Amino acid sequence: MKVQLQRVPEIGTVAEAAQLNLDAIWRTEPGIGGWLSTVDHKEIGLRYIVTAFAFLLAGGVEALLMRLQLSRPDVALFTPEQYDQLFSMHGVTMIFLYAMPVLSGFSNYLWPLIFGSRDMAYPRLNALSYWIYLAAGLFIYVGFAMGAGPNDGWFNYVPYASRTYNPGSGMDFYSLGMIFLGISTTVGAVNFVVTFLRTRAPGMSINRVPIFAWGTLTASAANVMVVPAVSLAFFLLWMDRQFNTHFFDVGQGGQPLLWQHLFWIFAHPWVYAIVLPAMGMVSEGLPTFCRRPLVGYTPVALSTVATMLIGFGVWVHHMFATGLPTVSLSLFSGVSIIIAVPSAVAVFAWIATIWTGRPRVTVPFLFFASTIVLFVIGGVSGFMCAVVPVDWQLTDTYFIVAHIHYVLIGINLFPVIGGIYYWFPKMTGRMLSERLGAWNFWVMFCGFNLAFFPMHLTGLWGMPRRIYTYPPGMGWTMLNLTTTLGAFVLALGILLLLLNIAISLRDGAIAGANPWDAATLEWSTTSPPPSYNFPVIPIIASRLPLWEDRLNDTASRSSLNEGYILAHGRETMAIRAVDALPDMILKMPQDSYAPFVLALGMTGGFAGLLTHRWWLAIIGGLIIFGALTAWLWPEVELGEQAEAKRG
Amino acid sequence: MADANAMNAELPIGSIGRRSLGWWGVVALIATEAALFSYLIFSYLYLAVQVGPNWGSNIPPSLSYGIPMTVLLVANSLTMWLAEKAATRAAWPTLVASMTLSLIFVIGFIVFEVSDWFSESFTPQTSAYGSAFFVLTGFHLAHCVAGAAMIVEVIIWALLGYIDESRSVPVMVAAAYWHFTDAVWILLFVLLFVVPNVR
Repeated sequence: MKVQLQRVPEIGTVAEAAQLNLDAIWRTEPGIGGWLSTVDHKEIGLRYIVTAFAFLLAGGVEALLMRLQLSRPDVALFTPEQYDQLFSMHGVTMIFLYAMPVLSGFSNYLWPLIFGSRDMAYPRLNALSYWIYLAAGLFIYVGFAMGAGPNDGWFNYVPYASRTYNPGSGMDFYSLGMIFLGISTTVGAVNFVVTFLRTRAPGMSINRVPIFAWGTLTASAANVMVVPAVSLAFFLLWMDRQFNTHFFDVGQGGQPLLWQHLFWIFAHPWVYAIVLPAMGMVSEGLPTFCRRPLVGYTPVALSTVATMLIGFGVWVHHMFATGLPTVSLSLFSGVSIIIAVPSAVAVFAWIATIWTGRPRVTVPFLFFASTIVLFVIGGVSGFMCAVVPVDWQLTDTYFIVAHIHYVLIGINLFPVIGGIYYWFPKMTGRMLSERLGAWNFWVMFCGFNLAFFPMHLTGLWGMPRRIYTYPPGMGWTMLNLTTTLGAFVLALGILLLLLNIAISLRDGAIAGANPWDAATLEWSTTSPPPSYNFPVIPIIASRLPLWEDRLNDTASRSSLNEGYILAHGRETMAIRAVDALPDMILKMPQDSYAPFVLALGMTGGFAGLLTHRWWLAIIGGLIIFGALTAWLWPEVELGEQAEAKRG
Repeated sequence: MADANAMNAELPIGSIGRRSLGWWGVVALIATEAALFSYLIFSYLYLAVQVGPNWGSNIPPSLSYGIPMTVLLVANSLTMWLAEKAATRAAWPTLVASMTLSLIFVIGFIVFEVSDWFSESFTPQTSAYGSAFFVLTGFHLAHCVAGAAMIVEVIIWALLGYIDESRSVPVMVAAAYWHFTDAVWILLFVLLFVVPNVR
């Protein structure tokens, strides 16, 4: 097969492209082979979302079990050890296995569609990142199922996590599982960064990128920089536990606070990483339902990036009570207060968008708008804790638990469910029921606030977090009962969502390409999109390509019906990062088993490390090497071999 | 719409030079690896500061290992640079020769590193200092082993004729990875070999 080294990309119409059978080039073969080897970002994105939701349900059940234990004083449903594992697994599951992956799922599914492209920059890496995520999640859950879950909370402080105080393999499952998961996060993040910079549609210059993409870009760039910190921390812990090194062992010159630094250098930016893309969803959805462009696109995009930049410098606010010097506390307290400013920019932009728009109150609108309320509550309680003396009073109480849940449920779960209502029609071709959806929203909203608003008081009245029970007469009994009731109402709301999805998948109204009359590119293709996303790669002239005639603020128009055909095998357009002029034609890989095999090899390798079966670790390593070699082997079809020129 | 000329220009196809996604990938890899080594060095310094004057070992790591190791990796960066130049001129005998020299230097480094480990007066279990010394050099050593495998594969691809002036991304990627790994070594050399011997 002869492969050219350059050509002028053909520009044609959708009708011309329709005769080329792009589907034959891009579709994944049916059957188990195709299922294991697909690199289609839509398939991978959906898998991410479904898997993350399965973990959400598991983490939710763990929460409900804890709430049963705390519903009354002196309930002995679980032993202290079981309770410790429950709250640890709940945190680990929600923060690592649900909150980030679900956003990766949305971004994987949507990015090539909002960018007018045919896939992510590295399709095979995308598949790898999913398989590793699944394997690492199961790895941690296998430990839990064997009674060896983490039991020291999600941030896993030493020395309690050290082998002396925590024998057994729970911490080792957790340590290796987190290193494993970190690989998935990192390769996924690299994929987002390069996709953002290189594979947007021509004309989509840096000032025309949807805010949602800015959110994921910022989160991904941060993950590239901070995930190594937590992987290293867990690696050092594993070394201390298994090979008697002394990183965290005070007696031999180690330092427990080193753990806290490494963990929070990662975990605070991570908190922003799991909300910024979700805030981006709100910034996409509100304009659609308010019938106007987002107020303050540029400040919102800049403040998204600024939040993360400042967010690199606030980790010590998790360590105010550890006895660090006052200078350090003052500095980090100041930065933690300042970070409220860029967050507030987004909030005011959303409020202004609703205020100056003509809101259509749909279910996704309810979820997105409620995010603002919950964000303000969670933001203010966070702002309070940025002040050192207040934090000294409140740290390790239920006030912090209330704060983290307002932040994570308020600005992750609510916008994510809003995102499901908003993009479900694109993903499946069918609408979710608005009627059931309204019930879904109000039950969740009431349940959530019933559960978590009183929890602020529980904390102020002195209940420490993570205690497995409490005696009567502490003044917490009614508050705890209320929280337990609220938690079950919240869970009922989630069940209504699942019911709605189950019903609507079969009987939902047919959506059509653009059911919400929205403005961005993903709504210009069919629902669900074809395997190749777009018959032609469009040429973009504004931020809101589908509203150009209506807004009529410039004379230029995006070209959606005429664009680059690119049908010599799997191809998409690469652009220059800032001005988005065409830069090269990318040859995209075929479906491949290499990512799946690589993830299997890694699973074997980590299982070998866990059980000290070094032969298994070596076999895993060889499989990894083999899969990587096959993956990276220069291919003629991808224009990677010099032979390409000779043909 | 942007000007029509730019939209209708002839474009390169596939994997070419610093526009290729392979190149962008290795830049991202280096970014995350640089973060990793920053955290490793941070951990070392943090523990050193906390321990104070007792940090270190009575017999510090020997410069008679550290200096030849450093020379080998600097030489490796030079040969990788030569290889990259050779690839862009399609001078594949020079390419293969310099890559092979690189491989020899790297293997030499690995041999020195491992013998240095066995010659130290302390082990990873002696103290936090010992743990940090071995984990920092160990992480770097692992990168050298992976990089050696990378060189072997690029040599094979060069011998198979996959690489010429228009398709030289694998050489660029390997060279970038090695310049990074060599630069990290310079930092580790100063931190772990020079400083303990001069203070």
